[in-house]
Amino acid sequence: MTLPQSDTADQRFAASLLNLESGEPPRRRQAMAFLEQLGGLRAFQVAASLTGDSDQVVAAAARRICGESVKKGLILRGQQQAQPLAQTFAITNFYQLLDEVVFILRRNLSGVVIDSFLFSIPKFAMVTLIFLCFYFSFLVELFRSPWGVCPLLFFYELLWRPLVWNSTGVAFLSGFPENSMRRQAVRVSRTAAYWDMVWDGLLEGMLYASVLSALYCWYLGVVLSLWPAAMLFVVWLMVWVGSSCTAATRIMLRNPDAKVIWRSGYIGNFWLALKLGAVLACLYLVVVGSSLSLFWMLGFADVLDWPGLFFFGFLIAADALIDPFVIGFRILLARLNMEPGSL
Amino acid sequence: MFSRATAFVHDLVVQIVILFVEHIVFVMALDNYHMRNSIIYHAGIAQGLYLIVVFLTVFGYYTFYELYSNGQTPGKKAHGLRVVTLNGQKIRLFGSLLRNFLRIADFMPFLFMAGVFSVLITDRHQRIGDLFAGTVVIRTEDGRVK
Repeated sequence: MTLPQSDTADQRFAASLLNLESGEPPRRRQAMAFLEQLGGLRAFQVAASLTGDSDQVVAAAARRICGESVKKGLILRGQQQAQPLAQTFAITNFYQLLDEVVFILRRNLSGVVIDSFLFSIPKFAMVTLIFLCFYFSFLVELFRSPWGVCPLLFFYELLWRPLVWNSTGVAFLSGFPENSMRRQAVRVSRTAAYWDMVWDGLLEGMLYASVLSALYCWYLGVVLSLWPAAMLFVVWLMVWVGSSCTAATRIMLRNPDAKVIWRSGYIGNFWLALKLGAVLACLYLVVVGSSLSLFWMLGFADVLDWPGLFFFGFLIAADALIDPFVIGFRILLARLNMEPGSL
Repeated sequence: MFSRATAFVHDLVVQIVILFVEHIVFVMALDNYHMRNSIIYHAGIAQGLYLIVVFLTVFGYYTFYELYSNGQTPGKKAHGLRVVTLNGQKIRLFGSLLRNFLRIADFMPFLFMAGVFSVLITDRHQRIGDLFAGTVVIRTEDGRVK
């Protein structure tokens, strides 16, 4: 008994496959007749596996189908050159963008970790000094004076930070799936690029270091009001939003005079930057909370009663861990907003 | 990683709403049926039952949806994610229970730090629960968040 004739070619094709698998010669021959009539790639693929069939009628029909198909220029899938699978994925929302940053980081995780660790040494040194305040009273005096910490903040933001961009940024670029970006990773690590970044970020860096210094002075009680810090923050934000060329774009441009669609570092992606701020706040909470919990688990039950300065230590350590992610996010965002030809 | 975190927050909100409703129902049942003077209340049976319901809501929520909604909790569905076994099959009861009970391990020492670390270093972005249960969270083609 044969299966009933179906309305569409697809259904009839499926029915003929069932007939071929049935093992009954009349059904199989009927199926081959249908495939011969149908033609095309699907029939060719089925017939190619039946040219040596024990049923000579079926085998002959299969050979005829194959011959006709070859004459028409059809090629079986197995005969085609193997094509690599496309590794593309459309980013449709903010969280997938963050996932993509993690994906790229993981492609060169060891490089990013080593680079960021090496260039976070000033931060870790600062954290170590803070925690050594437990044992050495002269260190406490050092941190009680704004002249001890504020110059370090300026040094870090103005001179060291571009170095971090240059190293961690290059390590991040090496993880890009895109060849042109990986090639860029080879060439940006040079002295000229460093000084370009220093000049590009000079104003923003000075303002940012001033905000941090003002906050620290307020913490020490040298400045009684938070107003100076708030005012500096607003000025810094205005410069930050309107900055015309950031380290993120600088690090990727082969030709510094190339046209960059994304004129500003942040103005075109202001809401994304705000969302990133919210996500970073959560990440800081997770890292600082985890560090405090670990200390608590290790027997430091009074960890929450430690002086406020120690909290800064935890915060700086968290900043060192999260920094590569922030750099990666800004580079990826800059890349997505740039004209492909400007690379 | 971040899509999973957002899906988790989504599910957390749903769970909080369910827990809130359960709590109101529990309090109303106590008051409307004058159970506060009954032996069930004084022996702690009502409170015990309530805690069982809370436990089932917190841990059973994930297992229920993973088994009966094709590996997708509402949060995962909204963010285009799905839990499957390592060979791509639908997750089974034991695997689901294991991966969800081990959320406690992932939570250590604070706010899923161990889980985040595990997702970062494993090849298939698996948290500790996934590693033990032999499951993986994959991205589906549908279910985009606008």
